[in-house]
Amino acid sequence: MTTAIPAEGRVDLHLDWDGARVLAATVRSRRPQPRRLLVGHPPEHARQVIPRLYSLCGDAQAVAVDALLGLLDPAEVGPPESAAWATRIRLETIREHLWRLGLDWARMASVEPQPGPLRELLADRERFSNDERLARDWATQTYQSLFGVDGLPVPERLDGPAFQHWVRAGNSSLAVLLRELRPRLVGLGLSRAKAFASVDLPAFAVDALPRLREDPDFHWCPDWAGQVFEMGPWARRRDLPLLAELEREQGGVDAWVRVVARVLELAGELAALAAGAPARQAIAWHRQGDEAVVALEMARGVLLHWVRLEDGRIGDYRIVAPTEWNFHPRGPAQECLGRLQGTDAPALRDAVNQVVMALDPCVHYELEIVHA
Amino acid sequence: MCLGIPMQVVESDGFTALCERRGEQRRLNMMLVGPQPVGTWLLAIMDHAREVLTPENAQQIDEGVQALEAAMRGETDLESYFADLQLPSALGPPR
Repeated sequence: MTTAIPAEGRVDLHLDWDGARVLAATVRSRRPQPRRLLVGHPPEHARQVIPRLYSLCGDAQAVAVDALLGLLDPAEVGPPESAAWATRIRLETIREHLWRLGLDWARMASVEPQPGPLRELLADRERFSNDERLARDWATQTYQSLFGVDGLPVPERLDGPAFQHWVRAGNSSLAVLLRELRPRLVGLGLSRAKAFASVDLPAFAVDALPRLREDPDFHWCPDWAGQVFEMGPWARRRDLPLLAELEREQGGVDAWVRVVARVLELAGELAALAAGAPARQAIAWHRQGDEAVVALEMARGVLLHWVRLEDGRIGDYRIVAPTEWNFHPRGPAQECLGRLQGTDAPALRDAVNQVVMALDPCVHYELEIVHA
Repeated sequence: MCLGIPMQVVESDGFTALCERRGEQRRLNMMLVGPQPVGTWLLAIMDHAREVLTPENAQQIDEGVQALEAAMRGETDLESYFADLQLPSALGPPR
């Protein structure tokens, strides 16, 4: 916790541990804001600087800036809603889920990584955005390699017994991965965090605007009406029958439920892309005078951009990433980590890593364990 | 909101590569880009090389990261880091 924060930002985790269980967990996410790079410049500057810097989720960042600038353009009546935005963010979400499941979780579980579909998506992303047939063929092939030729029942009709059967009996790469992960993740890092529902985006955008103006800590310590929400695939999909069933069984949300939610979201998005179904984007905005805010769902949860113009130039600009919610000092990571048990430090570190991976921060983390 | 950092390959064993940016070295997983020769510029996202960059792209991204680092150090003159940006002429320079 003592090293300097890199430009990429970092999540700091501190655990007080008595040799059997964690007594207290402290979580802090820190990263530089782009404000000082933008203030005094024309709004167009944000469109060029932000996606260039924040390239992990560069499509969502670019869409947020586009929407924000469209909202403040005197020639427009609002941001020009675009099907292209939804297509870009869907491909980016699929990419991030392929990365987490096919590389990161595969490495953690010591199963064969699956970089092929991700490599193809990275290489052909632009073509996929413009060539529906190409994208459909890739999605069909990728779905079959991950979920098997017979696949999963559609997530809206998938229940516990059908999913368990698929995990136990399936030969596809994801079934093999999930068989390895299930015994490690069930019950790990349980929390009862409130999920952010995408339908609340418009109300949230209205309330967030004055908070961003008045609260200098809001971007790294956000809340809505005093409540800290979990963001991401589980929060978006928690009403799916399987996820609701798993949550009821566990009495909360654990690392297993979060991974299953990512798998179901990937299955749904790939199947929709393969079927040629148009992408749907949850996005909301609010303008008040020379200020505007845009909130949209992306791979890790809700991304928020806020700008205040002064004499037609950027007077202030802040971004709130979903990691700031999931790794909030009072957020789901803090609750999950505070419930961990472990009698040796290496095992505790492994458990922390799995809890963190399930919540999927967009930055590295640094862990300090103090034996109380 | 994670930054991508341009890094240059200084040593490669195929699966991973030792990469460098401004004196800082990091070993990157090369699974997504395949083996790359020494001198290649890569976009590093956490511990992975996500894509191969042209030297020009690498320089543009690096200037942005440098500007952010300069802002973190408290520097106030950040304009020189974005010399390549083509802003609409009617909007004029920053003030």
